[in-house]
Amino acid sequence: MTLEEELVSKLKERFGDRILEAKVQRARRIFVTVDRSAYKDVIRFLRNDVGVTHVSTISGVDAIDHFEVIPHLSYKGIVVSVRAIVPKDKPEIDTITDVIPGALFYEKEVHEMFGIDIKGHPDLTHLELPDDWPEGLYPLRKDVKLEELFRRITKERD
Amino acid sequence: MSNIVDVPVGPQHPALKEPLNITCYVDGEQVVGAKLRIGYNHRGIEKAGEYQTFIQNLYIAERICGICGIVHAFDLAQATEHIIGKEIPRRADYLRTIGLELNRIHSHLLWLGVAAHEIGFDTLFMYVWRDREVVMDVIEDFTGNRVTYALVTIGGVRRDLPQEKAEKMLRVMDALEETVKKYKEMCLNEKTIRMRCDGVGVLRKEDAIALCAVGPTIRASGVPFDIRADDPHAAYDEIPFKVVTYDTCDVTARILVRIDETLESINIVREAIKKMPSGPIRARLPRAVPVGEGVGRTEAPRGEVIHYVRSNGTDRPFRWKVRAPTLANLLSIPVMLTSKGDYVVYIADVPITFASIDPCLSCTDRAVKFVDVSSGKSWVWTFSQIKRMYWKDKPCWRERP
Amino acid sequence: MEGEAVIQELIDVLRTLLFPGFLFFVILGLFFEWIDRKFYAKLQNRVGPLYTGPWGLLQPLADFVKLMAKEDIVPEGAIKPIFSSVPVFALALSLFAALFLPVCGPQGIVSFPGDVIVLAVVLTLLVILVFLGGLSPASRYPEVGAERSVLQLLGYEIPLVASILGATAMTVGLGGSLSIEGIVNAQRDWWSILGFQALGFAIFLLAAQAELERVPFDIPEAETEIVAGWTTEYSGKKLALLRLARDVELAFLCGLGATLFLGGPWPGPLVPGLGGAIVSTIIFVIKSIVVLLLLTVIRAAMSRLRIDQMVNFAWKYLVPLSIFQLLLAVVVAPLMIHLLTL
Repeated sequence: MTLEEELVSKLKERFGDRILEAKVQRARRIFVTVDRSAYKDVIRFLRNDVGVTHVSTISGVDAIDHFEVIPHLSYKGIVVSVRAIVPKDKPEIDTITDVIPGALFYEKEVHEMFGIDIKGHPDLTHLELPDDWPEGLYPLRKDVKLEELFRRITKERD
Repeated sequence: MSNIVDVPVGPQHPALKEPLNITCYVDGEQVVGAKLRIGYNHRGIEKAGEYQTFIQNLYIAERICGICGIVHAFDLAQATEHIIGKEIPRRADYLRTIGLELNRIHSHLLWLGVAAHEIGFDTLFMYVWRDREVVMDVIEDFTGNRVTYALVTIGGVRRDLPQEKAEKMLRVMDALEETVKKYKEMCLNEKTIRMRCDGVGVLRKEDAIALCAVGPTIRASGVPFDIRADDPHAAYDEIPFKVVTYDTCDVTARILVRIDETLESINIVREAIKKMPSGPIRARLPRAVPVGEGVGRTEAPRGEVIHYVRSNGTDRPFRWKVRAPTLANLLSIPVMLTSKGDYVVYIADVPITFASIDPCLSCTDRAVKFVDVSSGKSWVWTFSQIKRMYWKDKPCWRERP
Repeated sequence: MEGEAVIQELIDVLRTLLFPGFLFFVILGLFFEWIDRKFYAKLQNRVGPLYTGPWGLLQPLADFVKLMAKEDIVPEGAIKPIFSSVPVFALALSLFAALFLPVCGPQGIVSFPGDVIVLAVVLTLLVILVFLGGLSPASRYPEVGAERSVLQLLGYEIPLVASILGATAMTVGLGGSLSIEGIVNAQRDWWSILGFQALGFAIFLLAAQAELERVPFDIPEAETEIVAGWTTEYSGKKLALLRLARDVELAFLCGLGATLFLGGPWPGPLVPGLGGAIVSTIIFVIKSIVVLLLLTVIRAAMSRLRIDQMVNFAWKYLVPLSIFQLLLAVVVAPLMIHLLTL
């Protein structure tokens, strides 16, 4: 059994149904889909029991009918992408900065780009957007078109 | 501690080549804390990427950062190839490796010059940059461009390396090795350099791991974290090389890691030229990428670069996420810049400490939205208009069917 | 009788204004800046100033004229009288100090017993001007620069004065007085640097480098750290004057080094009449250029120190060494001369 398969089976064994999907895409690429409630437990398990210390980044995705928050964890060269499904009507998710402090900036970024509330995050100010950015405008959401961004920024800034 | 003054470094400051704001809390000459604010360099590339095809995005990706001229394009191509699921020709892998390593050599030399300038050693700065020109010439010879190489494409590379060019490259590498060794001697023995760098900008091993530092920054703290070795892509699985680490955790260690890596890179280029198989350099892959997602990782000169790409079956990415190494290393800056117990940070240490992670803010601030909105909006439009006008006048330049 | 006095007066005024006074030192300062830049560039494998005038000779002048034409901004919170007068005083002090130098003969335009002490005072006053110029604009970077310049002064002032006194001691030992003229004439046959003053010369070079705020002691105006240090808020005419003052100071300190340690204009004054003045001037300038080139090499071969390292270095090495060489000059040298002449 390769290291990748071992990791997947470990996760499945520990979390059972709370892992919606886990697959090895190719060598050193694992995609795991979890429910929002299990998200932090999975990260904590990977950190404390498996020994993952490095989070490469956290991708946010607006998948039209829901949001996805995907931390890409790095473990012995394997990228473990843990996909958490976040419903659109209640966009919030637990922070993982208390487990992996290096996720601080990435969570900020997900917050300002998608408007997903990161519960327990110490500092949810803007990371990359300017301080006078219009309230409630989340640029990477799919329903925000370029024209709308342009209109709102010019109007509300002047 | 009532006498604390906040000294802003940036967004405009001679020590910074790119805009960023570090607010240093200063007591006399001592820095007791630091706060970062980035985002002055937004161009909205991730959002723009969703409106362009994968091939067009390669060229946007190259312009994420001018110094990592090949890294982002390579990474995007790699992630896209993962989605398509086809292997590319082996020769292309080797050519990509050569491109990546030449890029690393030039970037590390550039950084060494900048670091020398930050500690006021302009002579070293001038000499290093003079010798870096040699590498730039080799890169131009190989790819046709000095800065944005336009070498990588989805499915392979766009230019081959003929035998005579490879031989010329090998000759340059020999000469360069001597020069770089000389600089290593110099950095180890020059008193004033050591005085300014030893014990400065300390990032302890635990901190580096906890804050997810990458690249030479974490390797200078004694952690052998190198994507080329951990997650071999391109032709790194067939080329032996050493992961350089130093464990003094200070600026000197970062200088030495980079110089030693330059020497390793020279060896990798030699090895790659020697082992390179013959064959095609490009596989024709479909323009419309099947539904799926891919993660591309590579070791840029500054550290790990990761691209996450998702496709919904069209020729445009559904989501394209870029994380440049500087964003990962920025968290370490406040730690390095905070005096603590015996560890004292002076104002004079701020520039070299900040420079020691080799910050690249163009990479870091790539995401999301046009800051200059008026030009931002018309940008997409103007580009296609220029394209149309240009091709109308010069029909021979029209894109081949 | 009356007419002669008037003519003498006129000659004195012309000497002060034109040669070897103000105009000469302004031109010399700009010329020295050019040499400094050109040689620095050569050491770094660059070309340096190239386009303005032959070999870029007029570049410093062009820079000066350009700055004079630029907008002059005074920060709102600045203490205006001090802020505005610092550049004028800096230039005036540098030019005043230059009058003491024996350019075209063993005697400067101004010369009296004890003028060496005046020069030491002027060198300190220049730093106090730096301090005022840094504090008056009420801005952060200049403030840090001003603090640093004073800290640095604490480090190099004693070595600087000690090296000057060391050079003076020999003349006193030979029964002369504390004057530049005495020092120059004492070196008529035997330059100080060849005797007991070699160490003093080395200390003088380092201290001069610190006084001029050049690498490795450019701490008060460290570009990459505190923008332009104490000169950050200066612009336009004020900056032009400050830069000119710096150039004149550079020429003055090089000239002082040549005077104290390299025998000044000797053996020029041996030539009789007007020819003596011309030869003296040429010799003096050449010797000053030698000092300048040494300063430039120091600038090119090192990186900037940190202020704590600089003060540390000064008190651990420079001060003890300078006191040692002073003892050498005051006690050992006269004794040996005494023994030799017995």
